[in-house]
Amino acid sequence: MTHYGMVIDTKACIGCYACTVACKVENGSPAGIWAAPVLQKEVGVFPDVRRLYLPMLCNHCSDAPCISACPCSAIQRRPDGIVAIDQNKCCGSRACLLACPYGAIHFYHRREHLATPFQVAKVSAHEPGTAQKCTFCSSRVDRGLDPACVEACPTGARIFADLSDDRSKTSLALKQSEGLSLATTIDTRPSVKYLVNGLELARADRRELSLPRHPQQVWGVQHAAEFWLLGAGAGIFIASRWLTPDWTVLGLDVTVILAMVLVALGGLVLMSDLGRPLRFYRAFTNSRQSWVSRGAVADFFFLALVALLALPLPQAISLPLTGAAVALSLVVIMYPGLALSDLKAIEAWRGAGLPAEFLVDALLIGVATNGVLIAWSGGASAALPALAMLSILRTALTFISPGHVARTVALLGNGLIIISVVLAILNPAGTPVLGAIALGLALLTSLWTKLLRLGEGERSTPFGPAGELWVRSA
Amino acid sequence: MIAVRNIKEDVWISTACYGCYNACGVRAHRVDGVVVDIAGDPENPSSLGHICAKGKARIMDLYDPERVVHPLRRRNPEKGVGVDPQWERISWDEALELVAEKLKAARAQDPRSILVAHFDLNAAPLVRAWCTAIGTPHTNWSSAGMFCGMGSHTVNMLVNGSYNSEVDFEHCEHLVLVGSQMGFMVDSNAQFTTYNLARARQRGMKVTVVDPLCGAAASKADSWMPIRPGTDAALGLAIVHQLLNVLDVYDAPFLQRRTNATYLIGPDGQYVRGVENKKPLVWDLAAGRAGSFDEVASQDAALEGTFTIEGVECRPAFALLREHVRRYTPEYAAQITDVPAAQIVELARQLARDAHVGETVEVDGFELAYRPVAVIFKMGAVGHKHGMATGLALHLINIVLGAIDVVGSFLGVNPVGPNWEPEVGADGMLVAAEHVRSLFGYNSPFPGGPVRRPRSLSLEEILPIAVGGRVMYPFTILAREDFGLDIVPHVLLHSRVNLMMTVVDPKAIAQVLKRVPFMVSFATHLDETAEFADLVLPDAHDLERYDLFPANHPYCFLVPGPGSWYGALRQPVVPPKGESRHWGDVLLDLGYRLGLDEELHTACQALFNVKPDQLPPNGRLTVQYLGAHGLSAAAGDAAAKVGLPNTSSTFKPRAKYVQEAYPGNWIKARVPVYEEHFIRKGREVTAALAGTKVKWDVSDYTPLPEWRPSAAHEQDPAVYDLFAIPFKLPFMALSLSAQNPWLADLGERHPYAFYLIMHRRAAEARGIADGDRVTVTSCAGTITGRVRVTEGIHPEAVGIGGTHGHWAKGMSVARGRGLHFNSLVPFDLEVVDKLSSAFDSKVKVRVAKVAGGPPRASTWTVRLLAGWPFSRRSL
Repeated sequence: MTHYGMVIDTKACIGCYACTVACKVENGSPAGIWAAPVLQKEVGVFPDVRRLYLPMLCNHCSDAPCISACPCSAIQRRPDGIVAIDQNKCCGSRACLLACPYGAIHFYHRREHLATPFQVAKVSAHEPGTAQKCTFCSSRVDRGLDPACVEACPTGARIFADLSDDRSKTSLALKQSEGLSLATTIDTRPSVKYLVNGLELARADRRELSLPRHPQQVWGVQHAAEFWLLGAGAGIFIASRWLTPDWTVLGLDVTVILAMVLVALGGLVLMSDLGRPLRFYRAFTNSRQSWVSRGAVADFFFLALVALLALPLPQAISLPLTGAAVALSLVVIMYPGLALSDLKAIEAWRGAGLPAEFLVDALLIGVATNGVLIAWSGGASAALPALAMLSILRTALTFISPGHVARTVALLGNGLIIISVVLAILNPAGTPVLGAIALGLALLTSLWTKLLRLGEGERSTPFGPAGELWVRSA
Repeated sequence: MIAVRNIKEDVWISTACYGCYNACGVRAHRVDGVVVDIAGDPENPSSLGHICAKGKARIMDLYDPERVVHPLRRRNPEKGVGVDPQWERISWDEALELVAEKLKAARAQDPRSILVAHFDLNAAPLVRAWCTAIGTPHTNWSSAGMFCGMGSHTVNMLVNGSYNSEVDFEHCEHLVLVGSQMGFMVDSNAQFTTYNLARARQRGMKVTVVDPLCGAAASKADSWMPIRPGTDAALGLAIVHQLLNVLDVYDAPFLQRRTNATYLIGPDGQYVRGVENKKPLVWDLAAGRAGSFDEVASQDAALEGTFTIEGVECRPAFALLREHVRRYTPEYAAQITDVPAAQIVELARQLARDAHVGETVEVDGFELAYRPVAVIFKMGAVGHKHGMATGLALHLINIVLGAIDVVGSFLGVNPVGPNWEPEVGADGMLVAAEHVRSLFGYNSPFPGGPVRRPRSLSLEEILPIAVGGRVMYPFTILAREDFGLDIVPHVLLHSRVNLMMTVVDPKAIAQVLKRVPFMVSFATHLDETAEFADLVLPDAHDLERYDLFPANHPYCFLVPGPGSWYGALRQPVVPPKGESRHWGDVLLDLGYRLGLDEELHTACQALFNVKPDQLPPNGRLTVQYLGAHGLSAAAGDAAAKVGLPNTSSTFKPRAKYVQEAYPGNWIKARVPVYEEHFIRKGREVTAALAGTKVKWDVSDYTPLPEWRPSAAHEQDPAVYDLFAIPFKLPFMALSLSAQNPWLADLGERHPYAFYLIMHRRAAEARGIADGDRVTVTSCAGTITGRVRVTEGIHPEAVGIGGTHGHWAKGMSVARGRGLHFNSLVPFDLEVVDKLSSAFDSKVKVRVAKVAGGPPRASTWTVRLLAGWPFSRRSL
């Protein structure tokens, strides 16, 4: 079966940007989006120094992590190997930007002023609020033409053909010299190979080319706030089923209302952060692969169940509903962490650390909130020891967290929570105030650490601040 | 949703690009009247179906909202940088009437008071015809020429009978690029050389790059030799010394047959001539006596020895050359150039080996000389005071190895063509074909133009060696009395050259422009120069204009390689924006308004072969008519099919014959190793300037080239301690690229396009860190910009790429980006190379950090408290 791919001869490339602009023209890429940039890196020490040029584009991976990360099922791999984003399905979650280890996916935020007839004719075909990337010029390829970057290249550095055909130009080039893949955080079986023959490789004594990495700026404050609200809401719900504070307003359970409001608010924050908020429903379509999609489904059913539970229901109904809601709330709390750890391209987020932190943080907030409600109503509860236990657990978790800033904040916050709890145990009269302090600390620490943990994520970027290319030695 | 549009028109129009001077064949895709793509024309032998970043990006220039689309008249009489001209829109008729009136008045006083400044190679023949009709010799004040290849064009005209250089990439084994990035998307025939140089590198051709800067060429080279700016002549002469005096490798038969190496030189430095026929003598070793150079069998002519003829002791030029270069030992050259002596010796050894001196190869049944080495030199080497001497010194390497216009070697671009070949001039020496010289009115460096007291603002009378005196106008306009000139400029017509940015110190150029009472700018943008105009006329973009033979009119400028002869057509892809017009058409209109019909037609007959009975029915020539006329003459019956929609606009009469591809094997004329006529010309120049106040350095008028320090080398190092040098970027050209939003954006993302690049050690010594803002100060002025610290530049040099640092309000995209190199170049006759009229493109500067830069806070404090972390703008 046809498997389109590209072989790039880095020895031939002279960094002239013909491919970069050709791509821009062919695709009418919006302002600031360059789907075929050329990275540069200076290697060596004067006078034994060289610039390496590395033409970039989407690698059209056989195991494309963007496909499974997309909650909207907007990215598909065609039978001929071309990975394409369907603009009409993309909701602008930007999960694919984080999933791609090549930094090859770009977000078209908002439509720029289309100042020229060219832009009106071509840029207007792109939908703002969606993800954009190289398509291997699929419409050209379907007409039997080479991609625009290949056609333009003045040195013939880019070769495009069917990798599965033994006699194709790409296969012949790969027989002559070894084709290297870009060194990335994960193996995605890319369809783009680099010939790093001769000089550059020998001089630099390098085996792999890797890309510049910078703190991700894709998911930020809004995502931290969303994760925090979801965790707080679901955490309050779980804790309330255990601690059962007896607070009602107009006959409705306050904790249930609080959980519902917070989770709904989280959902709204998330929606507002989508590039195409009105396409939020598409986020339900890829629950087979994407944790974001699973979370969206869980949020939806959690809200539905909790809404039912707010009503005075007979116990025969409410009991199984509560059980289901508790199970869903665990998903609501942990799916952001699972979604982040699922973005394997970002090393800092891998592993069980993030889901565990998110769970403990949520339970801390839940127990503290319920504890405060009980304390204010003059009751006594098991909240204080639970709070102490959770804080200690959270403190322990900081030691598997890689970032020292997030660790410091978590240690400090939870240390203060433990002190407040100990003081409250020693001085039960102060419990309402100290409990509120602990709750405040839990809320603050949770939000802050989420923000910091998001900031720890580094992704590959097509252009570094100085357009540099990083080279990793063997 | 992508709206489904009802497409009514979808065509590809073949034309020629004009994103730089190369005019590659391209195809523009027009859909419903809008240009949506530009691609290379695969039928075009120059572009080979490829296109560069600049060419693709021409779409954005075409549709630039800041383009001038109406005639504009200045209301503010005050002129100056930053002074608002207070433009008012007027009609074409008013505008033309105004210009015609000014031209008429100027002509009545002195037609020579009318000046044209442009760098529109494709319109140059028409401009010449127009100026002839008007009666002014001042046809081409072209600032681009000052820094471009003046120093190499002159050398190529002398040695190759051609204006430009290239390489037989198919066979070359070792290419040495000295101050040139040929084959790296700059220099002439950019697409052709870039594609073929890449193929040659893949085949195994060795590339050595001599350049202070590690750019694309040096990065891809097998060997980069960082050299101190402006010292390339010493390197060239040191290599010649190694070849002649150490390795004893030179192409003796070539030197005997094709050069003046055997000509006997007397004690006065002049040829020793026969008593009767006055022909230069050579020593006939077979006969044991002297004979005319054209009578003695070349293999018998002596290259060595001392002879006495009629009591005069004389030696062959070659013997003098050998002795002359003996001084350039590797150690001496290393001192001057900062290239280690061992490297110089090694390069000479490699060239001696790779030149295959004495070997031949069979091509198409002919046994031809095989010299697969080429030393290419361009602006980086020859764009200096003493630049032509540098070119001559470097070209001597090619000459002594016999690597001139033969298989694998340095090639002139089309010295021989379908109906021309270099002439055998006086003393058997080579003169470029009339055909090559005539169209642009180039002077032939041999035997050199007549020397007289200056009579024109171009000073061509005292630049007998330069191919065209097109750069001296600023000096003569400001100080005509110094040169004894009686010409007072009245009208300046200016097009496609940004004089304020591409000459020297803009403060001085502003004075020059203010000195001209009436200035007309044919402009696409209200650029730095148009800001001084009294009248701005909207010029057509190249995708809106018609030009015949844009790259090679007629076959003499840029037909690449051993491939095929071709002609090409530039034709409009879209109608001109607003009221803009091809400025050539406007010139013709003005000529008719002045009633110069007859003069125009006579001039056009001479240059375009338009006979009186071939004039259009209304008797009025247009650019398109001239083009169509030339097309039918060149393409014959096929003309009607050239450039139709969805076809190519390139037509190819036939492939080059071997005699045209490798003419060195057939050319009869001799090339100089010894510039005998320089001695005389130098004396004549000095005599012509006697009694004027002008200080004119004729030290370069010596028959054998020397390395000489220029002003920059002699600046007090305590005041100015670094050489600033300019360089080209592969995705930018001339002064327009930075106004292109795409190219400007790429420039911002490029590691050093908009930076001052500086060696790490130099930066450390000055307490400068990467990204710091600095001031760069020369004797001409100060500029500011950001520093990129690198290992890839000679530690004594700082580099500034492109023509950036625009300040005109009418170029808002370009404005304020990058640094403006030319602001550092002093307005001083001292920086001019008096042989070629090249300007010195190196300036001594000092660099200092701008105090009070942004404070550096620790990273995580910044990340927490300042801008961190998430701005969507940067996604």
